[in-house]
Amino acid sequence: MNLCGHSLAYQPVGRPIPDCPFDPVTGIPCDELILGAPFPDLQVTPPLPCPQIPGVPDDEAFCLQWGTRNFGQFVRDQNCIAPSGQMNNCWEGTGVAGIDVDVVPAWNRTTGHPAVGVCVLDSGIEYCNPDFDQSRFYPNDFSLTGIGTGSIEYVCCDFSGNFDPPCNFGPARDNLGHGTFVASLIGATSNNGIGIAGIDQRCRILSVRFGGSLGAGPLHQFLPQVKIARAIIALEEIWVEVQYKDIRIINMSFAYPKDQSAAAEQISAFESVGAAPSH
Amino acid sequence: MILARAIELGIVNQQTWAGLTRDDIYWILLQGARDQISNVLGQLADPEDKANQRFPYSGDTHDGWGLIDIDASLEYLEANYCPNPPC
Repeated sequence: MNLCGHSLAYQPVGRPIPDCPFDPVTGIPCDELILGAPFPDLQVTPPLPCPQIPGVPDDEAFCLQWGTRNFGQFVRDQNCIAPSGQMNNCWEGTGVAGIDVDVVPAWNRTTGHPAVGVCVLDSGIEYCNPDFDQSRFYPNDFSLTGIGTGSIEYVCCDFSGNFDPPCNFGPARDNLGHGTFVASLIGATSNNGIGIAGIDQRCRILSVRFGGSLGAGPLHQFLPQVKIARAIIALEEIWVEVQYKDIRIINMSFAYPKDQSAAAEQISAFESVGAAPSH
Repeated sequence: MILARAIELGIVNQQTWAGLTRDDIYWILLQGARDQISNVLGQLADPEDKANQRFPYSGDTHDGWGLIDIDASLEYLEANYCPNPPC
């Protein structure tokens, strides 16, 4: 199924690495992005420093990754209101020891394999985050962050020029933060003394941006049909492009209305041929 | 991680990706998980599940406590899919 009724005409755009001087969407210098968000892969500022744990990765905030290794430490309380008044932006309470994904012993079995590609279908990835090994990113990512209008036709992004304004086909950098956070949980560099430890230390990562903070509004504020249409376009692109043949996992950290069955059908199509969307 | 270990053990061919289907991987995840999510679609909810309705349009009125255990799933993979035991 293709909402556009034709093959996609655009080509993915390579990322401006290794220097990545500025975010192509916001124009903000990368250094400012990093300085403004010292832990972009955690989304909120954690209560560091916290005790390091012998025998586990030495990443600065690993001790806060209760989902990765829960020893009863601070957890992020989703019902907490920070002194600033912002919801969900604080760490308090205690975790329950052992309630985690049990990955630490699993690392004795495997730390991942570079043949496995993981697509992060999200708000993009801030490649400048020093907690990423840039060699693990696919050289060609792509972005479907157009100007959201609520019209499905307007998100059939090609270069035919029959829409106004045009979609942004720039590199799939992150201008929201969520995609970077998700990508970090998947594959942030472990044992480098900074940030967090990703679950998989060797997989390759493809950034596909279909939402962001500019143009179409924050990811969670998308009109459902726009979001779903973009997701479908991205899934189709991954499906047909030979350069993405190793993408075996598609991480989709979002929800869609139950009456938007198009996305569900597309996901089912992937599942029928052995791909494993994570949603 | 399951795919990675499966490649390392020769269960999955990294060129053709034959060896494990999506259903196989889902099954392996289930075998390692410590609890399952019941989504209350025509079934009684797991009593440990937490009533919620985060997305009113989704129809899913419960958050489950399904907990993936990566190590247990990998152990299951090695015990049941290994082509040349012991893995």
